[in-house]
Amino acid sequence: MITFDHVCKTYPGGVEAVRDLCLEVEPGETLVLLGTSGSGKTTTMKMVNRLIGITSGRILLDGRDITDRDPVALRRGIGYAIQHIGLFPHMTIGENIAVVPKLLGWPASEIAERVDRMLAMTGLEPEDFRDRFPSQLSGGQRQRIGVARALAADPPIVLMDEPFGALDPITREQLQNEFLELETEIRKTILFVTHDVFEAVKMGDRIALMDAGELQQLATPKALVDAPANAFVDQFLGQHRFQLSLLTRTIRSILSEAGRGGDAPDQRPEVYLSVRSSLIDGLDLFKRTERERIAVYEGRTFRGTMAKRDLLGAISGVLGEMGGGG
Amino acid sequence: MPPEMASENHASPPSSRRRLWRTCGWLATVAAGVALAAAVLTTQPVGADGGPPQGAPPGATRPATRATTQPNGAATQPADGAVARESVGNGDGGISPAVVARKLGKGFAITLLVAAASLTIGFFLSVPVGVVLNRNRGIAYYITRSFVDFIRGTPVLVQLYFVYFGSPVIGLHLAPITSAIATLSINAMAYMAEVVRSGLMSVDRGQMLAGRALGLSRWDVFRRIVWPQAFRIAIPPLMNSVVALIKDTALISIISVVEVVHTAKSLVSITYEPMKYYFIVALMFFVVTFPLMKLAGRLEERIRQKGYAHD
Repeated sequence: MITFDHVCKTYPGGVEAVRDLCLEVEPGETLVLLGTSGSGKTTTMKMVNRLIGITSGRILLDGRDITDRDPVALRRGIGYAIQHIGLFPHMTIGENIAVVPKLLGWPASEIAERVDRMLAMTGLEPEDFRDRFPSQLSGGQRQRIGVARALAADPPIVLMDEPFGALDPITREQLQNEFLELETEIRKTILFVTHDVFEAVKMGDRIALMDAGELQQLATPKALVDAPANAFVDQFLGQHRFQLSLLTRTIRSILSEAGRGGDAPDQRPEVYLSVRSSLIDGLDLFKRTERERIAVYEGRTFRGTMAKRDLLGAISGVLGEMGGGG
Repeated sequence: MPPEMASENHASPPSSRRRLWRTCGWLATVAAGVALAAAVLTTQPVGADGGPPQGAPPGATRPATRATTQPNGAATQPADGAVARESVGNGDGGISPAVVARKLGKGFAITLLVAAASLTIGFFLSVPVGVVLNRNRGIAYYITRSFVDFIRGTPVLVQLYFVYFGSPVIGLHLAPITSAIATLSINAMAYMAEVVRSGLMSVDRGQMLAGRALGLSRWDVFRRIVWPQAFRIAIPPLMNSVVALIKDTALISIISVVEVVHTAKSLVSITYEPMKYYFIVALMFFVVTFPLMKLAGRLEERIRQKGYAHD
């Protein structure tokens, strides 16, 4: 758990980057720090592993003040994924991933095993990639390595600084999906920085929207979209409101209406939806497959089916709500 | 993808990287070998220098042999093998090729020793100096910056005079060779520090951040992340500094270090054949500097292909 207790940061020269921030990141949750550049989100994240010092207030990790700990030791226990510049070009992929385990003094055989597991986990063939250099990889592959490196020593806390920022939209979405899936397996406490509201809504269990160094709203994606706390939040969401509303509603809520009467196949079929899928994901799949009814799973467990009719109903319901509210 | 990458699949550090290091090791070995061989030559008794080592002789011996056709001075030493037969054929004496080879070999050994010592000292000094130069602020930076600029902006010749004739004034009585090594070390340091600085500067700042964020200490970030990348980029220009410094060693003859140019000068004063002896000396330098220049070019090409410079 990460606790921000009245944290302030003033840079030399008097710029107040973060002002009186109080925030708790629950264990196992992904909290997204969202904001425009200059909002203080990156500063907030970098204070957690003491890359940036705190001016006043405290940050606690599981109740322990981070300033009581040696910064180097502290950082070894916190994963950190950066935009693609973060890979070391003179080291192979294997060596890049092994940096932190090596620093922690793991035995060589264990490190080699771990490197291969991390590569496999991020969907890259260990045999193919272990001995290549970062310059021989595509942007998406490098980014996967960045994530693998952050997770290599199995830290309980992971900081992610716009990890998918420098990618093309298609690769970015693919990596986001992969990471979401990975994340349900590993359950880390994640602090995720982005300026992209769609990414925030997609990745975050909760979103902390910041502006000018101050926390504007801390809420689940759905609550943020449905009930903006102030004029700034409202303006920040702007014209994306409708799309975001659809994104923040999972199909779970309309499952009961779709009925659980369908057969319960043991094998997950090729076309299925996760209960965590959004209304937009559902709409997209119906459009691509031209089906009337799609099976819904939670992990490998069958949860029911959803009818196209019900989905469209839910979507027009959202539209109606917005019209009523506006 | 470079072909060397595709074919090899070691679990240990990859071959390309090793090869780079191996090349550097090879270079150091050759340099040491040349210096050693030259040193051995100088200590050999005159009659026994039949197999000339690679430092000076092939270029040096043969023109020297032809030189005996000129009637000059008196033949003092008997030489062996082919060299002897040719000298005898001329019959008239002059400085024997063996003597010429021995004298120039000895001189060149001094040249190489001074160069090797200055380069080693200069390089090790240049790393911390380069780091300070790369800071771009602080008192240490301004002092170092001024010093390096001053060294680079003044003639080596003047620096040599300054150290050699100036040192007794402050009570230091430095031998010519010590003055030479001290001056050239500082000179090499100044030029190499500039190269080191530009190498360090070309390493992306994000690399440092990434290293620190992963929990490397400042020293580890430098040693494992920044320096390996900076050094690779710096190797070709460093080689150029090495070549430049080897050539600058010729200047130390003027503070009476008995190196190869000094030796040639005294031979010329006896034989009145400046063209021949200075050409031999030029060849001797070229035999050493040419492979270094070639190597610098090849390393540069390799580094560019590998794309170390940019991520």
